Amino acid sequence: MNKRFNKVLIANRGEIANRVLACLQKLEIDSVVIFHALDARSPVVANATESAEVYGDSPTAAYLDIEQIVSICKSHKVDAVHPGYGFLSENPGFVTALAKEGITFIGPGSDVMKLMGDKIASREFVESLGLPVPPSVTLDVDDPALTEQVAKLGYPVIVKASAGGGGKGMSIVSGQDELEATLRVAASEAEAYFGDSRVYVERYFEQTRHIEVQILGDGTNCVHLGERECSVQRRFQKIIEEAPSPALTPEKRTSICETAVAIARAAKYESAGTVEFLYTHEGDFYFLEMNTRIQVEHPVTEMIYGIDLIEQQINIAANNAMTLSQGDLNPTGHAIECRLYAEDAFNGYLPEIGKLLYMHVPDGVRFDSGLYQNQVIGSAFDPMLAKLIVHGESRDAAIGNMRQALGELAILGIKTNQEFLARVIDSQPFRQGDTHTGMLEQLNLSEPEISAEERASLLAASYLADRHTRQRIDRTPHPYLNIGDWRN
Amino acid sequence: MHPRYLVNDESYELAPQRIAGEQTLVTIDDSDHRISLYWFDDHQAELVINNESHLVFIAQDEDKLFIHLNGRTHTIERLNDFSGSSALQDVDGIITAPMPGAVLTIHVKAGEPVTNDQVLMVIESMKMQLEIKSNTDGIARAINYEVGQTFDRGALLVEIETEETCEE
Amino acid sequence: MRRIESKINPASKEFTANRRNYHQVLNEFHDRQDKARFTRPERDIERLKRQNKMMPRVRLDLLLDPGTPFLEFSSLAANMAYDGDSPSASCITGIGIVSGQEVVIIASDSTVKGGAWYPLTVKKMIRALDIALENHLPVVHLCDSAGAFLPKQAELFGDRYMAGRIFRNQCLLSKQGCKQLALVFGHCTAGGAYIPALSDYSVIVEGTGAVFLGGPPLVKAATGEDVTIDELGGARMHTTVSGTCDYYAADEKEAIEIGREIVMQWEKKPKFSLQRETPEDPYYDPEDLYGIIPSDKRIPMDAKEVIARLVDGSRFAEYQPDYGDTLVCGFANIWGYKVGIFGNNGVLFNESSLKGGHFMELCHQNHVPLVFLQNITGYMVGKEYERRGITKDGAKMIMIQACSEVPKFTIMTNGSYGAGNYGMCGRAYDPRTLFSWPHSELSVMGSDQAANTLVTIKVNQLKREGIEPDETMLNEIREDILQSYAATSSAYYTSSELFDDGIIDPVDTRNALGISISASLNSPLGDSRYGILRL
Repeated sequence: MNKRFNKVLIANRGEIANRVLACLQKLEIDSVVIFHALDARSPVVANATESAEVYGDSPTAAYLDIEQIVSICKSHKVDAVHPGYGFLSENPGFVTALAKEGITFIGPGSDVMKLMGDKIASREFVESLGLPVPPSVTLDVDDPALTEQVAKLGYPVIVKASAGGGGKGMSIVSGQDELEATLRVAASEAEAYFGDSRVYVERYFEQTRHIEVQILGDGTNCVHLGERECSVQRRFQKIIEEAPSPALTPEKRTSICETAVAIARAAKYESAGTVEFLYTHEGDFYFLEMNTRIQVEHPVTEMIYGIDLIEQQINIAANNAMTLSQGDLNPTGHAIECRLYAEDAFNGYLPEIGKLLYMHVPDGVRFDSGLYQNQVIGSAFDPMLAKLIVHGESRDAAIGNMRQALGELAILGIKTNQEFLARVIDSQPFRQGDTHTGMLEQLNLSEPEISAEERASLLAASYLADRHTRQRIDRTPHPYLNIGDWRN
Repeated sequence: MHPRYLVNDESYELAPQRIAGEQTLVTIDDSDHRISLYWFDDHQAELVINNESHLVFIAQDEDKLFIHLNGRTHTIERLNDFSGSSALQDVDGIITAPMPGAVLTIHVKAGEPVTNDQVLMVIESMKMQLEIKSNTDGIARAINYEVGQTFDRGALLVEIETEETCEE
Repeated sequence: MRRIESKINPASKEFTANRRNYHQVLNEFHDRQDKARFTRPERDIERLKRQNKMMPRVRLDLLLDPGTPFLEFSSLAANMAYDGDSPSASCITGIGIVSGQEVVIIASDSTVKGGAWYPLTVKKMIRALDIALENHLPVVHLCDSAGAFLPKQAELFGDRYMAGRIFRNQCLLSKQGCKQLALVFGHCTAGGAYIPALSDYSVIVEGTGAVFLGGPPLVKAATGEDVTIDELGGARMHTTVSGTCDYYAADEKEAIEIGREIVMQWEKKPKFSLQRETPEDPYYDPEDLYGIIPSDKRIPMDAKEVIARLVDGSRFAEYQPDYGDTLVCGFANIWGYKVGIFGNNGVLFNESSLKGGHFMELCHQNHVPLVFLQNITGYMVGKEYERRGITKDGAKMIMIQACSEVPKFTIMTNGSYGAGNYGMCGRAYDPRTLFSWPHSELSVMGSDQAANTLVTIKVNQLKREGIEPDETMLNEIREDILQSYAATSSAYYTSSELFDDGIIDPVDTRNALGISISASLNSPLGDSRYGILRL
């Protein structure tokens, strides 16, 4: 039970690269980090034991270049790779390429990855286990019976790319007249982004909750670390997550978590994974998809269970066995995570660009980010800047801590959704735990006004801090400024 | 010429009167204020306005000031009194990028006539595709980006010559 | 330094009467100044609008830093000349702050006859440049002028201190290391073209700015060449082909912005130091001056009471308080700067002249500027005084004052007559700035005295012609002389002719002096040449 890796390569960037590096440093395992030129100044590069630059036609392409990465693994004598999330984390080809060189991929095997990566196949798998999936139609786009079948499902429906996931490649269709056009666009986008044009149509439940269960497995045994609720979303992307879900009774919790474990066990899942469910108003739940990687929102689970999931992944990968048993896992309290994005959240969430000039993180919170002073935030990568996570004895306590943290956190140089997140946390529905996927649209938040006093303070601070003012005033000789605005 | 700043899309003027000791007397919104700013380091400061003290974090990037005050972060833009503000959008024939991204496909050539709402190019950003349409009838005078090229928000993508802007 | 104990009673009848009188004086002053500054024929304002030009004071507002003062010179220049055709002598001059830099500003006012130069315009511009030279100040020119006012050309061209002197001064300013910026908003023709050409930096506005030695009509007449204004000397040509101007501006606002950025690049030269403490407002209200200034010039005005309303904390370290009491001398602070003050309480006697001279020596030794508050009818006359050498003593005072190594500043606070004007540093003695209070008078002798003498002369003349004037005639003659005398000895006349740098409200004296002193510190203070001669 005590096998260890000598050197692990982190095939990722930004926040998660930092996270994985922190764990490797804790475990005293040597690290290699790959980076594209745009990330050269990232602290991960300086802090890892070794680093290697990757090249590509675009920054993203560089991080997706399997051949280059495998070659770096070989030249640096790496024995394992942690893929983080996104990029190559769910790419079976990468797993295989590494395996050929005898390098361990810290994650599940390529077979289960392929199964769960194909949304249509994974649905069918879960259905075959007798477990609930949402009503859907998976005919070919050109099939004449498609329109009729979809009509039977009932509008609205959602078109999803089979090879998609993580909130990408999905569009809602509200009526039959939009169906054909949406299918075509979805298919072409799916081909372009995921290399697989297959799409399927699901009944769209408005105002449902998104509940997912964290599991850990070693191929034989499987445990769950409770659920997370990730219903607060915009454009299908999660922005606030919490653990545990305020909606579940202990019975429902047991039911959902055991369903997740059943699925994972049946798939002989190895490493960390997340089973995502749709939870309706009526209390029904349906399997949506399984993510065969560590998730962005893993910290909330870590905070209530006191478990380091990355460490678990590494141990499982090194030993092919897991030391945890369900009885070891006893959560306490409540955790909330807010994702900070570089965007104009009150105006259509349009992405923002800028430079991180200064950051002040309050004490007593967990702040996971890959940010560094003077970092240029451009459009090359995902606009998520950081994750702000708090823990509290109760949900109310956690809400109080999060609200305070959102007020004290200062990120200067780029517009973020920080104020927006604060407004959501403040809202009645959130406070009461009435979260669902349509919540943000319903809340229809608008940018809060600035009072006249605040405005005066802002103008005063701007004027006095402004470089132009200071430069001019420094140069002005005595006694002109004391005499002030005077004419004879 | 009094300094003006843009707060939440509206411009406000601050009229400095004079400096007395550590304090500056200014007029904002027709009332007088005594203000001063004490720096603790490059970014952290104490703002005192009419004897009320506030802790602030400030960073400046050219004409933009980022200020964290009373639990909120604001972006204040210093307005140059001389040149008008950017606001090139909404002008007929000027097609700017609504967000940063890259050009996916181009559907028009320089010199070709275009009609209002005609799709000129398709851009992508954050894995979303967006059609860029003309806002006027006219002739496409310049397409300033090539397929694959990236741009920032507000970038001048296409210029269309309308009847008014036609050169003799 | 002790605070002056004021003996003025603001509740007294006198005080109130003086105040009432002075408010009228001020009303007249403000009326005349406002008219000179702002009243322009509607068609001239319209013309500027049509030409897309801004009003000169609007340009100034944009040019100057926010929250800073502008000390304007000679607003009432030419107010009693040319039938009032050239208000403010068609230009605005003064000292202000641009991009943190102290500068002299000379701005043409093209709302007055297109900004054409009258003889007094030239004099006012030269005066501003002289101020820049003496105080080592940079200059910003706002050019917008039609050129010389031809009907008066004989009075503005040819002599030493006429138009040519403007450009000569520019050259010497440059030699001294004082920078000049020209913003060309209109035409710079013939001599005027040398203003931007001799400036270190220039910005020219598209469409309205033009620089050429001869305009199109002149060129056509001289060589038969047909050329447009723009082709000949417009913004594009001079900034791309000839290099005569440095920066092209699409409009006036842009020109000012560029100008401000240019000045922002200018070296912040260290100033010469002067003893300076934290400034403090006077303890007594400066507005008390309105109640202190007597409505009749024959009634004395206590110099110490005036000083108490001008200096920091009303504190004054008097020198030789018990000797030569018709001249008050002492150290005080104005806007924190230590100065040596001279104020009159009567005519100058031997003792007061010697005290004045001695105190000036002390100021030189102490490197402190001199501030003269003139209220002087002259030196004492009479046998006793001549025998005691009043002429010698007066000469000592004038000699030391004229050879001063420290800057001098003069305020005409009441009357300034005859040789007293000299000893107390009148215009001819180069005070860095000289301002007049609106009620003040300046002439070679008091009007009554002068009238008597002139009447006598006139009567003798008439007698020679065989006319024997009677009582009525005598009175008429006297009245005529008194009237014309009054007109030409008033502050309005002296200001019109640029015998001063402008009329100011007494209450503004402190600020005017503070700015003048600060400006003067750009040039070095000299050292005394001798030890102190006990006079």
